[in-house]
Amino acid sequence: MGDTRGPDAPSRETSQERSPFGNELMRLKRRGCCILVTGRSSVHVRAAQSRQLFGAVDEPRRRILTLIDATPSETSQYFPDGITQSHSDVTVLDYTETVQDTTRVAGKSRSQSSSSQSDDPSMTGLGATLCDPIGAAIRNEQTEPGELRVGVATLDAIVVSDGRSATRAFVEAVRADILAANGMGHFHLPGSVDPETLDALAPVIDIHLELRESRPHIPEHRWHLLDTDRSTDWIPL
Amino acid sequence: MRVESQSGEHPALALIDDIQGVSARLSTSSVCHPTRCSTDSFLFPVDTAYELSPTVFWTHQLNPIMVRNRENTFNTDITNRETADLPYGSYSVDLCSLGLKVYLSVQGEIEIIPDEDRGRVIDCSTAESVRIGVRSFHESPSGTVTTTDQPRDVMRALSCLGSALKTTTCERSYPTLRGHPPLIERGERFQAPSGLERTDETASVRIEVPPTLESLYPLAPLAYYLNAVVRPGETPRLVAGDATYSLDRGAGMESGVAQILKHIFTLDCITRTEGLYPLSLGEREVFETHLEDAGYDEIDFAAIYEQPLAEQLQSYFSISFDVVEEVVPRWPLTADVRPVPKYLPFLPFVVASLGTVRCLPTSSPRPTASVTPAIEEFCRNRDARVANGDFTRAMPISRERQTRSSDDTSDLPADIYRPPASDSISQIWLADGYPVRAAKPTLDAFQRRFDATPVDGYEVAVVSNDTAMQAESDVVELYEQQDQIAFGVTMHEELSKQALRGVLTDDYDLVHYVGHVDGKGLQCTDGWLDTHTLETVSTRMFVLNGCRSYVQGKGLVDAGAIGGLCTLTDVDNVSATRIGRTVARLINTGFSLGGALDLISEDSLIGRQYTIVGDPGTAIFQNPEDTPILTEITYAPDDEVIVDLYGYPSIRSQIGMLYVPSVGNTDMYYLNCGHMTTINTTHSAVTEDLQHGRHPVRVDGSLLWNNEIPDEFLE
Repeated sequence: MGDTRGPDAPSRETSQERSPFGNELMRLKRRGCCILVTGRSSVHVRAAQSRQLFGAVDEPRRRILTLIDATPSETSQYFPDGITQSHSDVTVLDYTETVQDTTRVAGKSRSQSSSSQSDDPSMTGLGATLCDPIGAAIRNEQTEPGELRVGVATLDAIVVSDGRSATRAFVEAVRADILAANGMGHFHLPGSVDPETLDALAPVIDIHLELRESRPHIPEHRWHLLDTDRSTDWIPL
Repeated sequence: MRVESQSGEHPALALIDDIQGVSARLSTSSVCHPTRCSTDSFLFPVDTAYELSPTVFWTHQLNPIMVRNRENTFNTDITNRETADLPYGSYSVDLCSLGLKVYLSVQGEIEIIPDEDRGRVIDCSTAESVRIGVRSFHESPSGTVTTTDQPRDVMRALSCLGSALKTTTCERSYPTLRGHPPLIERGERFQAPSGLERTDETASVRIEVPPTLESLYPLAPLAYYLNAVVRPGETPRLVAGDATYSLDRGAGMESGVAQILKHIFTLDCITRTEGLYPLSLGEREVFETHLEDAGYDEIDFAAIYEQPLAEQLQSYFSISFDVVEEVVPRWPLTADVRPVPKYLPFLPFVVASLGTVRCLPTSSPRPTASVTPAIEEFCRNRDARVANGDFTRAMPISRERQTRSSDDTSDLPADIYRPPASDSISQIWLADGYPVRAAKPTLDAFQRRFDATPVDGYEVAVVSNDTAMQAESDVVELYEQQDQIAFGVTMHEELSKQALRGVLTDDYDLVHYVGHVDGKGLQCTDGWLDTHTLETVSTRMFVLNGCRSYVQGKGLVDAGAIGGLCTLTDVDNVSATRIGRTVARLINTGFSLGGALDLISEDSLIGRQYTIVGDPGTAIFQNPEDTPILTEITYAPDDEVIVDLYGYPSIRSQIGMLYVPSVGNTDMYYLNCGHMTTINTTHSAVTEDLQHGRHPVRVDGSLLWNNEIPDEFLE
C-alpha cells in the first residue's frame, strides 16, 4: 500500500527525451497558463476534457470551478473520478442564477447596443461581476506551481452579454491571478467559435484546445500552442 | 431442447435449452401436458415440438409477437400495447425475445392482448390444436479447416467461411441465419471437410487480392458474408456476375473492405423488410429521407429483394455509399491483428461477430500517438519534474493515496499497447502485449463459447479480501437485484489462499474479486494466490478489480475461465469501487464484457485503464429482451424528455437482431447495435417506462439503474 512511485523515481515520460511540443507544454505548466476549450461536442465530452485538465486525484490539488451557464447538476462531471463538489480541495462558484438575471437584462438591451459592447475594451456587466470573486478565490489559495487548477464553464454568457473585448478583459484579469499562482486555467467556449472572437482572445490564452466528435462516441482533441505555433493532429480523447 | 410442464398454483411450461444454458417460462391458464410430436407442421425450423392441450399463455413481458398464416397470405406483428383478434385459421405464432426461438402452431382462433400483470397474453383456449416448437440459438462451427501458412492456402481457407451461412439471401443479415463459420487450424497441408470450400462453380461472388497475409486478414468477414471464393489477383477487387468493383475506395483496401461490408449489410437489413418479415424498420425510414434530401430517386427494394446475390450487389454498389453511411449501425467489433500466421485460427471468432479486421505493421514500435504522453504529463498533477529537483521549493508527495497495489513499482509495463482508435463497441488485440480499452483473447477462451452451460440459475461469488475496500462489497446487492432469472449470490470475506482457490474451482458463473492484486497474485489472509499455479478454473467470468490485474487475469483464462475484466495500471480505491459497481450492474443485465468496457471507458478516464482478458463477447446472463439496452435520458424544459436508446450486442445477440422500444408507443423496429433512435416524450411516459424490469440508464452522464433516478428528475 502507499505511493506507487517513490518521490525520486522519474516517470516513464520524464525519463524519455521530450519533443519540442512536450518541452513547450512543460514550460507553460511551470510558468502557469490559460487554455481556451472550443469545438462542437457534447457537454459530456467537454466535461471529460475538464476532468483531464483538473488533474488526477492522487496529489494535493486546489480546484476552482466557476459555473456561469453550465447546469449545476453537471458539476460532478467536470471533476475527476473520486472528487466531488464537497471535496475539501474543491471550490465551486455557482453564478448560474446571477447570470440568468444579468443576461435577461442584457438581452433586452443588447439589440440596441450590441455594437458598442463589442468595442468596449474594459470589463463591463457580467464579466465585472464575476471577476472579483474568482480572483479572490484564487488568491485565497496557497499553492505550488501546477497545483492550482481553475475551470470556467462557460464564457458563452459573457461573450453574449458583454461582447468580445470585455470578455478578453475578463479573461485577462482572471489570468493574472492564475499566473501569479503558477496555476492552470481553462475556459470553455462551446461550439464553433467565430474567428473574430478567437482573435480577440488569442493574446490572453496560451493554448487553444479544440474538441470534436468525428463520429458518435469518438471524441477527439487538437492542441495549438499559440506562442510557438505548434499543433497536434486530432487525437482520441 | 425440451419443454416441461410445471403444475401447482401457477401452471407453466418450462422451455429449456441445455446447450446454450437458457430457459424461459411460459405461464398457462391450466396444466397442459406436452406430448412430443412431429416438427413438420411448423413453418420455420424447430429442434423439438410438442402437442399441448388448448390453453391461455402469457409471457410476463410485452415482447413482440409475429403471426402469419400457413398460406403466408397474412402477416401481422404485435408490439407494445397492440391487440389482435384472429379468426379461425392455421397460424404460426413467433414468440420473440425469450432467449430461444419459440413458435406456436395453432389451428383455430387466437386472441392476443397486453396485460399489466401478465405481459403478452395469447389466448388459444378455443383452438382445435396447439403445438409448441422450440429451437436453440446455439451455433456450433460447421467443421474445421486446416491451412498452411502459405497465402494461397489461406485463401482456400477463407473460401470455406461462407459455407456456414444458412441462406445467401439478404436474410443472412439476421444472426440466426448466419451460422458459426468453420474453425481454422494451422497444419502441414490444406484440408477441409467436403463441400465447405466455395469454388467458382458454387459461389456467385469472387474476391481477388494479392496473395499476402496483410491483404487476406481484412478480407475474412466480407468473404464469409458474401459466401465468396477468394482468389489471387493483382488488384484487390470484388467480382459479382459481370461487374467488378475495386476494394480500395480511396483510403486503401483495408478500410474499403470494411466500408463495403457495412454498406451491404445495412442495405440487406433494409431489403429484408420486403421479405419474410415485413416489419417497419427505423433505419429504412431514415435512409429514405436522406435519399430524398440528397436528390436521389426512390429505390425499389421489393425488386432488389427478388434479385440473386450477384445482381443484388450490383444494385447495392449503385446506391450512394455516403447516404447509406448515415444509417450504418455502430459496428460491434474491430480486430487489430499483427498479420503473422499465428493469428489465423482467431479469424472465425472475429467473423462470427461480423467484426472488421485491421492489420498492424508487421513489426512496430508502440503504436501510441507520440504527443499523448506529453499531454498526459501536462494535465497530470503538478510538474512531474518537481520530483527530480527541478524546483527549489520542497514539494511533499502525498502519502495518503490509496491504491489497490501492494508495492511500489514502475510505470506502465512495456507490454501494454494503445490500439488505433476505433468507433466499434468492442476492440480486440491480436498481437503480443496487452491493449488499453480492448480485449486480449486467447483461442481456448474463444472455444469455450461452444461449451454447454447449466440452466439451473446463475451463481455469483463476491470475494472481499480487504476490509478497507468494503465499499465495493455492496455489489452483492447489485447482483441480487435480478428478479427475472434465478440467481444466487455468495459473499466471501478475508479468504485464505486455499479458500480462494476453492472458490475459483467451483462452478461459479461469475467471481467478482475486490482486493489487492499485483505481480505475485491475489491477496489472501495468508499470502498471495498466484493464478498461474491453478491447474483448473471453473469460474466462467471474473472481475479482478485490483491494481494491474491483467497478468493474474491471464492466469485465470489460461486455467479455464472464458474471460474477465482486469486493470492495466494502478487504480485508486474510490474510482475502482465506482467502476466495480457499474460493471456489476451492466453484467447483471446481460451486457458482454466488451459492452461493459465500452461504457466504463466512455464514462471515466480511469475506466480507460481497464482491459479484457479472454473473450469480450462473453455475457453471463441472458437478457430477457435479447440485446442489452442502455437508455439515456435528457430532461428538457416544459415536461419534455429526450430518450436515446443504445444496443450492446453480445455473442448471444449478434448484430442484425431487432429491437422495438417500449417507450414512445412506437411499432418501429431498430437494428440492435449502437445508437438506435431518439424519442421525444414526456416525464410521465418515461417514469412509467422506468417502472419495469431492471436496466441501466444514463442521466446527466451518470450510469444508474432505472429505479434509482433522483427524484428531482421525476417530478
